[in-house]
Amino acid sequence: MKIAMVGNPNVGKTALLNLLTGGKFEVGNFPGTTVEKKEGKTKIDGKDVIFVDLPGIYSLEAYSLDEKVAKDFLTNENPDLILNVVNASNLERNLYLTLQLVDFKIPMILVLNMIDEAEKRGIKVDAEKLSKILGIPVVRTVAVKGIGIKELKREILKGGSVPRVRVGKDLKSKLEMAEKIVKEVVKVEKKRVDLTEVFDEVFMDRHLGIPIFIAFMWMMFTFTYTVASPLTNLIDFVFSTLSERISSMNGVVFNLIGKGIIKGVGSVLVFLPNITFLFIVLALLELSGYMPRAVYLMDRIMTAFGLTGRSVIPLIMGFGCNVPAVMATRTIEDDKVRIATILVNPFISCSARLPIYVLFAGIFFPTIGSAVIMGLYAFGVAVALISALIFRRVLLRGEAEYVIELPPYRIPNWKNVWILTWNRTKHFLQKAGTVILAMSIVIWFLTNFPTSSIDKSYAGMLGRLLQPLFAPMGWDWQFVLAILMGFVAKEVVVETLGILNTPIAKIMTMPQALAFMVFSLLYMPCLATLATIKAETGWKWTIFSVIYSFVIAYVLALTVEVVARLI
Amino acid sequence: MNAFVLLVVAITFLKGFIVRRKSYGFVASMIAVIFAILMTLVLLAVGSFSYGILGYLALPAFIWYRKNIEQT
Amino acid sequence: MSLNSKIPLTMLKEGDEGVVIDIIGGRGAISKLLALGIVPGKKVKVLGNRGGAILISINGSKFVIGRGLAMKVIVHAKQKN
Repeated sequence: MKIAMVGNPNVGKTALLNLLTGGKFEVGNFPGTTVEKKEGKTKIDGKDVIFVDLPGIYSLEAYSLDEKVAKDFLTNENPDLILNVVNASNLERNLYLTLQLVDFKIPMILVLNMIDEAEKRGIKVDAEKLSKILGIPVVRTVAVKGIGIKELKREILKGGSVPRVRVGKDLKSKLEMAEKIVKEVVKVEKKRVDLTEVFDEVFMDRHLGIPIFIAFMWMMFTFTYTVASPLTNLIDFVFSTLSERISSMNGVVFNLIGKGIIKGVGSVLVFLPNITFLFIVLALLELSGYMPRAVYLMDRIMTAFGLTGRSVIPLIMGFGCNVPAVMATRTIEDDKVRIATILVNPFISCSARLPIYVLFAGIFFPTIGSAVIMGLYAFGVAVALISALIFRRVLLRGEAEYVIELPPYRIPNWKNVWILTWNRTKHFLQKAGTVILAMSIVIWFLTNFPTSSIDKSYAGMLGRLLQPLFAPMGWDWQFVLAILMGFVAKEVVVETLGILNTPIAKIMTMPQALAFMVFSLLYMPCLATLATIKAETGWKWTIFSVIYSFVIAYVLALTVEVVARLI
Repeated sequence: MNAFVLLVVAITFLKGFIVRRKSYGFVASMIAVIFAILMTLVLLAVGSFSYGILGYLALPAFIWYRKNIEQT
Repeated sequence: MSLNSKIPLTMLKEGDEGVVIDIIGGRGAISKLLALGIVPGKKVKVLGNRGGAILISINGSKFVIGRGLAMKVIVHAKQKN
């Protein structure tokens, strides 16, 4: 028996699926798309049942990808039963979709979910009457608490029934029908003070809204980077010990495994705790209902740069690490805004770039070091926002027409937080892992052949070979090599200069150093970020990102060098 | 930035008193408690102390507001 | 503001109320709004309009509508008492 679960976003479908399958469901994509597909197999009274959770949609007009995927599934895959999950607090809107599902002539069950929340808001739905009008079974549930599941399973075994309600094909008559039904089955009593109103009064306060948002962002930042840091250190320790142990054994194979694969993969896996912690916070922000409020608060500032309020969180995350930041763009519905946000994200200076600034600012600007560093951060933000504006005006044109529902605030359920977090983390591991493995081997080869001393290796030769390209900035080949190596991870820039014993103060001038810092800030997303960009947008935009950032970095570094020299 | 969070909490409390709305005190005490929990985690993770931990002092206020908010 | 004024949603100020009378624009925009219950005939209240997206309450739900899309929602402004 194949059962399709259909409903609006925010109606608790995933929680219901989790409950019906005992948590045993797989998350994948619908073929050829990035639309998430959740599928779970289970047995109800010995009968094999497959649940397919379709994306949360408001209608089946097939204007968005989600809607198209859902419509195609219902048309082509012939499910035996549709579980139409609706939010009891908002029946009228949910019924538009229900009345569209009627057209498919597939047996249905209406799941009236979140009745507890509705009752708290003083909304009472007459389930029996609704069932009579629609001609399908109606089951009342509270999925997060497991209420009503037994009854639902019983109805599933009965197989539901094909709706008998008569309604016109066009949306307008469906809208009128929904309004009529709601008038008959829903009773609203005067309620006590709604907590959602209480929260909104403060969170969306004209003056305090944005400061509170910034405070939350700071907390998210602290949680993602500071609280996760013991785990990061642990992973770093395990991988570097393993890498050293294995590579100290004789033989090229051990060297490849130790210094190539384990070190390379480890350099990305150290981000895993940060990413997981970030996803926990993002899940909390999404499930609590705060996210769309933040979008509203920040929209005005972001639209000035061609982005929307949705872009704010990914951009702020970029100060920590661009990898989770790029993944955080998944909450942006508009594809053009999303790609623009991804492409400019690497310009936000991540924490791995800080050691570079510290090293050079310490040598060349001993008294105003921190001001120079702050300046670089601000410069990065400026380049990111201006680039976003350019992208949206030239390459990714088109108005971002978005409308987001503000759901009532809810206390997130831990199980749901974990499901969301784990699925996203797994996705990162799968997608980024393969690219990184391949690149690690390539880089290992370049740095270890023909000899293992870095300045005589292919990488060293490459550094010397490419040096003329950077001659206008006046950098020695060691710096070019450092930049080259920094592609793996930006902190490697400092490490490489250390290995080469570069006498920085002697062979570099202040303008050159300034240009070098600007170049390091902008020149190219690191390997892990690129792997993530590839996973999120495909090769075309990844290559574009490499070229664009390199050109921008080159032009701006040269400008900085010339200007600084003249001053 | 930790000081900024505490400042936001303080100003939110203050606005609540000025406009005589319990909602501000409710949210401010909630943020203070969340921040205190976070600062405890930071203390455990990296051993650095922040006065944000004092946010636990707002817990009784939070509970009081939660009970009384519905009569605003 | 005359009683019969037909104005885009973006012209309403914070706290203003109105009735949706039309949605102009492509079928994509129309169906997106209709499916959310932003339909001609519904009463709408603007909860926030600070230059960016518009915050509205309609039919007991709240929505954030990007300014571009909100321009396409034509409302009948209600006179304030």
